[in-house]
Amino acid sequence: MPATLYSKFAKFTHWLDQLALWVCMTALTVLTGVVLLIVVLRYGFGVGFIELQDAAAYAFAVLLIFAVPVTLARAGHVRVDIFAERLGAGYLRKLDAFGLVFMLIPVFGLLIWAWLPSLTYAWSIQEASVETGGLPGLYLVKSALPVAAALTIVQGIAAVLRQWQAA
Amino acid sequence: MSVQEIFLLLLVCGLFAGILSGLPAMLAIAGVPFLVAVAGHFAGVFDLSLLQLYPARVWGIMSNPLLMAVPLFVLMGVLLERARLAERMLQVLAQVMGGSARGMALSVLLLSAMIAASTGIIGATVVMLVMVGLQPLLQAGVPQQKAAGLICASGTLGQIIPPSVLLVLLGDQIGNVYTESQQKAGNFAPDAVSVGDLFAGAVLPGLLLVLLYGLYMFWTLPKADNIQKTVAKTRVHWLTLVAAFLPTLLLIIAVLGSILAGVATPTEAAGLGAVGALLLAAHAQMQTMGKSLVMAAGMAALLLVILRTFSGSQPLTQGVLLIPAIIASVLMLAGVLAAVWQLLRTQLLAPVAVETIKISGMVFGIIIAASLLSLVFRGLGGDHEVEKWMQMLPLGEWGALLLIMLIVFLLGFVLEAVEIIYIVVPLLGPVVLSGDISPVWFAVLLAMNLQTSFLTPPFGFALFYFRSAAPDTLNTLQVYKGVAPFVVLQLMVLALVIIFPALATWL
Repeated sequence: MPATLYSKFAKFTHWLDQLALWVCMTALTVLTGVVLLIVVLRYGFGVGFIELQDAAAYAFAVLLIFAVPVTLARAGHVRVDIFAERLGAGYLRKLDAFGLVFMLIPVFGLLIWAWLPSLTYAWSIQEASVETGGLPGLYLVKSALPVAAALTIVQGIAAVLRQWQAA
Repeated sequence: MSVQEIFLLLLVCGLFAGILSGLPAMLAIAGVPFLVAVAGHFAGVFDLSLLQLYPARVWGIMSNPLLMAVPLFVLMGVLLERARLAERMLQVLAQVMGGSARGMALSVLLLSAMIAASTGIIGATVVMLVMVGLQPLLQAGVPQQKAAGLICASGTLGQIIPPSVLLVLLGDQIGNVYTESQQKAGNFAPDAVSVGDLFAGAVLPGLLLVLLYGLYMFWTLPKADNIQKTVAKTRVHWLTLVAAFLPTLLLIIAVLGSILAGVATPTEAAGLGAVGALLLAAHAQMQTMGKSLVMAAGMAALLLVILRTFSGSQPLTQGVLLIPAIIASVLMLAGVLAAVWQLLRTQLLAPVAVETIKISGMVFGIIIAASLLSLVFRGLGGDHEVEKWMQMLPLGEWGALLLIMLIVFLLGFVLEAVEIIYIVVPLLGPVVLSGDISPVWFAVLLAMNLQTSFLTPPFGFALFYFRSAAPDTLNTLQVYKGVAPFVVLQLMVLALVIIFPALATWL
């Protein structure tokens, strides 16, 4: 790949990563804050709100799925590299390219493709929380799944390209 | 051998080849089953439309309220670690115990037990203990070998001493599999297994381990007087000691106590723990004004609990207690905000958040991947096959239990706990959990087994972490020799829990 095109792509993926990280941090903050609020209200005042429970659940769902691409971009998914580290960088580079093409793209592609029917349905009825008196907007949270899956694929491609570019 | 069995074998072998190849475990655990499923489709033994269920399963994980506790516990652990509270505690201890090998060893052990309770991440704990504990131990006259063994063993305590992330994950899986397989076996109203049950079950075995480690140190290390003192023993005011230990201790008691007493859900307790850790971290950094504000927030939280206890069943929204309750809440909120501001200013919070997200992403990546694995495994009829094989074993479900324990022990050499739990429990667990074996007991055995396996040479994870952080003056063989007695102690406690299940099921 030409260097200029690559550096544009690298910039783009870095920007996407920062975006995903921001989403995660916001979700983590909301999750912690809302759980604190729930605890104070419930144990301090004996009142509870379904809306707060839903907000925590929404924040958690988004955090969980967006954490996957963020971790991937930071090479944070554990590897068992007791054998791989003896085989050198070239081996790892080819292995990761194989993993990207035959595992990462198909599996996360499956997550996007097979989710679309339920997602379109959720959007068509503007699905809300199943709890009575819960928050609206569940369909937006459900959209986080394919978006994060797409981001995971992009970060997977970026990681492999980075290795090949460095070699 | 039928075609289906060949594909199952291919799945299992491929999975291990994939994981050992050095691919990220998440990718291997999801990718290999995917490839086997596609191949199975062409051989006519797998129905590819099954794969369409995968996103719904991932959504099930995303909306699982039990897992909400995981990032919060991780946040609490990372905060406490990064705020260097443990280091401070150990420094105080080193001053008090200076010169006494026995005292120093016991201090490190107790400190580790506390840290274990608060973080529960093996790698981080072992590395931290090497950084802050190894030198003081050696200076106090603890032989190198023993110091290495103690640090490795203490570092793995986080797996078993609640609240531990591992137990939350085990609770999730065991709970699911137990309910499902009991219903299959005809018991339509099994008692649900909660994370709180597992925490309660792990308390005694965990403390027993600490006790045995302690006794071993006590017996094998000389008393202070026989050793030439290299570090002068300084007098430390008891207030310094209390100030260093009390906050963290209170936090752990509050988090664990509220879960065990059944007042708070694990998620609520974890959230409280994370906020408490935030206050502690800020408190350790701040001066006068801010310090008192953050302390006031902690006091306010306590006041709120007391008010609530006094008001009994009547909600505080009515009655005279409303005003103090509001004041306490506002004070608490102000303290939390001040703490957040402080930690943002000193640039501690952002790295802590990134680390928390990374650890959570690692855990959730494996959970998501394992969900595809179990889908394909079942699609190939793996659950029936396992049942068939297990029935051929002698001793029925006990034979199955022993086999699973052996498999988990061996897997512990190459895989991390999260992977093992999410691979083994759904695939092999149903055979054990459909009978009369207590799920809590089974879970505690698994947790202890994993912990032992992480400690056992030559592959134990704790040993790798130790080697990566320790100076080269300690060779590998010495570390192995140092760890060996602790592995024996581990196996003793494991045997005790097997013989007396009540140790795990007393609550």
